[in-house]
Amino acid sequence: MEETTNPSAVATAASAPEVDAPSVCDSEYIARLVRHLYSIVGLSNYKIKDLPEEFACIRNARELHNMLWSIREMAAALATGELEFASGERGFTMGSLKAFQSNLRHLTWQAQRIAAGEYQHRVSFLGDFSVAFNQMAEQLAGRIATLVHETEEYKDMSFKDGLTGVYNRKAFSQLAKKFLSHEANPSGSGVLVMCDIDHFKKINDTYGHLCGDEVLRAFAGRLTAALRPTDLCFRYGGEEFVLVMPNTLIKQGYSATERLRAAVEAMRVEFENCRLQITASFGLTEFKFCTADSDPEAYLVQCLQRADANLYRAKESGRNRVVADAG
Amino acid sequence: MQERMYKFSWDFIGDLEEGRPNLGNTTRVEVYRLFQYALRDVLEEELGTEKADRILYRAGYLAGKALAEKFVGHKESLYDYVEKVKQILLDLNIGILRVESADKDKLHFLLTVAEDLDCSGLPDMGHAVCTYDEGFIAGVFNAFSGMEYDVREIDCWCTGDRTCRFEVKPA
Repeated sequence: MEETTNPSAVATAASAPEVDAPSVCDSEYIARLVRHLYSIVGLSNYKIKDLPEEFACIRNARELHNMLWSIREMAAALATGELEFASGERGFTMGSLKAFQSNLRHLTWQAQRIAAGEYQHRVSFLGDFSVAFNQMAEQLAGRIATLVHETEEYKDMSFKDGLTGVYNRKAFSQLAKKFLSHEANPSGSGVLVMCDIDHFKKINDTYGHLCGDEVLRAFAGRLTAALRPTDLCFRYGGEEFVLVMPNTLIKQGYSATERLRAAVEAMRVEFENCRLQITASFGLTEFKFCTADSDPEAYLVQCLQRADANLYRAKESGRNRVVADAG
Repeated sequence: MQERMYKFSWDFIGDLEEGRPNLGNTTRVEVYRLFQYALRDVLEEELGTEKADRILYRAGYLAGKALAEKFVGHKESLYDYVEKVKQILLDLNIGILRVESADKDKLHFLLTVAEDLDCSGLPDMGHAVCTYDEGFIAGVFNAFSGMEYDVREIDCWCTGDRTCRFEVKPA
């Protein structure tokens, strides 16, 4: 791009023209020059990109011609949203257009950041653009936050048992692999408990299903109250629950489960005019995370089977007791 | 080597509450520009334009790096870092920093500073003047990544533009 003359010099030339052209007093000549310059910025299909030779002798005419063409092209580019047009022209008008281009580029960049999930971006000092853009960003951030929260809630709901509020069987399958991770089990082992309310069918048959529901809620509540924050409780079947105690040795698990059994025996469930005492049976087994490397889900199924077998032994030997793996 | 008298530290900012209990912590932009352009006049007269500009760039670099280390600190993301820098420049009334484009792979950035402390409102002089700001931005970027950058002002109030535009590239 041709170097421009110092704009100050242009201004000086415009105020006190010193032209060598013999036609300086020719009003027709001046009119043609003015018409040409006007056409650059005024006519949509004007195509004279080079300064006509007859005007070349007028000092700074070429510079003004070039500047007007640049302004025209910049304005046309901006009008169509094209932000890459570059011009080497300087001066107030071109400077203002370039500032406008710069602001649009900045808005574009901000929009791209927001599209990438960075909702904290805001635009300042750009008048109406700022207001509208920032409103949009705030609304978007708010709606995304709500959506994320609702998604988490729905996810949570789909993993939770509606009656008791503990995790459901579906959650057990999904979370199974986590139990076996090193993060959950730095000691390398944990305890899995399968438990079951004794004579639950009889409670339902005698007092009704609403009472049965209350018993389940109370039992689940007792279980979760006794567990550590890292332990998990799942409603696995009708009155069957599975407890997972990561990072726990079998002896510790046994002691904790025994305390749980006693707490269940000691509690009373109030329903309408009744005050019920319930008991539960517990079957324990140990699980080790390193053993589950090859197929964690299959491994957990085996653990459940062992726990279930121990639960069966607890039932067979009189109920209201805790049975762990033999030896 | 002789002990230096003016190696920069934040001690040179001092305790302004104690030092200026009546006049407070603000002054006018004219005072800042008076200092800068008087200094530039003398530096240019004694050392020539190129050397004077180099000194000013280095001073800006020192200031930008010190400010970023003190007030911005560490950020994981470059964009978070730039946002924080932008806020600080606003809080200190230095200018309105905006990003026009950013290529994180090539580390090429195009930044603008509107209402720049050094030049906004100055007459059209036909050349850019924000040499100190060039160094300042290089210092700020160095504080983030430890890398050296070349910063060049490509548009300035003094070239007739209405905002200062800086191109940032790895050195």
